[in-house]
Amino acid sequence: MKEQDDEEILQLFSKENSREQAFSALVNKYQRRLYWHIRKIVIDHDDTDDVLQNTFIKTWKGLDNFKQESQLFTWLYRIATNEALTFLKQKNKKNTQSINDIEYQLSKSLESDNYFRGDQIELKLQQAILTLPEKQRIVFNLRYYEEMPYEKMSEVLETSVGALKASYHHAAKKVEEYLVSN
Amino acid sequence: MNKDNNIEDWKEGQENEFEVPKEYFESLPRKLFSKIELIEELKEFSVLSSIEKKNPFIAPENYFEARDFVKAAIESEKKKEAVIVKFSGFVKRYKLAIAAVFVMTMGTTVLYKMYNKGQIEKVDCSEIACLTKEDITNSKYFDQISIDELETVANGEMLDSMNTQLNNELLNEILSDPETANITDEDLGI
Repeated sequence: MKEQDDEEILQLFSKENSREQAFSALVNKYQRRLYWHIRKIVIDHDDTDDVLQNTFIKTWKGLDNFKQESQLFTWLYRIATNEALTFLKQKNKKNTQSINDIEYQLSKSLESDNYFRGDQIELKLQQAILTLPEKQRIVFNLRYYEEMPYEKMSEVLETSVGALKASYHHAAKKVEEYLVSN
Repeated sequence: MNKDNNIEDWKEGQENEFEVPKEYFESLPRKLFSKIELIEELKEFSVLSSIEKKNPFIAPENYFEARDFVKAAIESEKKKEAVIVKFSGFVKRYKLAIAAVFVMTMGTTVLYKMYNKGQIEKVDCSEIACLTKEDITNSKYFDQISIDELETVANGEMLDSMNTQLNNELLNEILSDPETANITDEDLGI
């Protein structure tokens, strides 16, 4: 099936009788990209499923008020990122654990995850990424895996290009150090 | 020049029955530059750049085909509407009790805030893009970070010390310059 343009989707969504059709096109177009983005933040598949559902619920509710000041794609990524971070914070509160403990748990859960097919090197790389602070981890994943240009990332994370470049450089340095010493 | 090598005479790749995505050729140089930038960024990290880049996670089989996010989103709105209707009925019935609970909650919140003033919530990575002051000042991208962002990480003490340092450097520069070294306060009208 041919993917619809964002503009076309938004136009369809603005009409009462084609809202569902437009939303369905939006979900089909973006669900995979958003899933992998969230998955790399929360790691577990079931948690990702919850966060992705919340992301689409928020999108459905907010799409009417979407001002088109940014691209639809960056707006969706912003919602997904915020939802994933909120989810981790809530998980953190529920378990009364520190951020470091949560990262340690995520790192441990990778080893027994049925939906992780990486070899030893990839496991080490993921564990190295999990030692980074949450926001730096997002910057690293967006740049390293998704190869997102800094300008787009700047819109998603509302941070300057310079700060993002510096953040990615430090993240890569920390990951490299972890890989060398482990 | 060999005629076969002349680009002007080379008709291949001009008009034909194939199509390319919209604005493919316009965006190609930008995409290539971006790819080169990505490789350059990882050049200094030998281990990281030697790892084959692939997604190590998998999703359950047919997950994307079977999962109906559209239905879930629409149903969540219907549920919300139903809750609002129920809640408005509840409010009508118990308005006095709700008002009492509201007043008590507000009172408790005010008291709690008064006694917990000054406690700062510990937030993970509140600085810009998770960089420490040291990371920022040592970064080669320092000049690309906006002033607003720098202000969020620079405290008063840091700004004062930077200011003093700048003043001292300026003073030394003036004193070491033979043209300005002999200027007195009187000359300056101080």
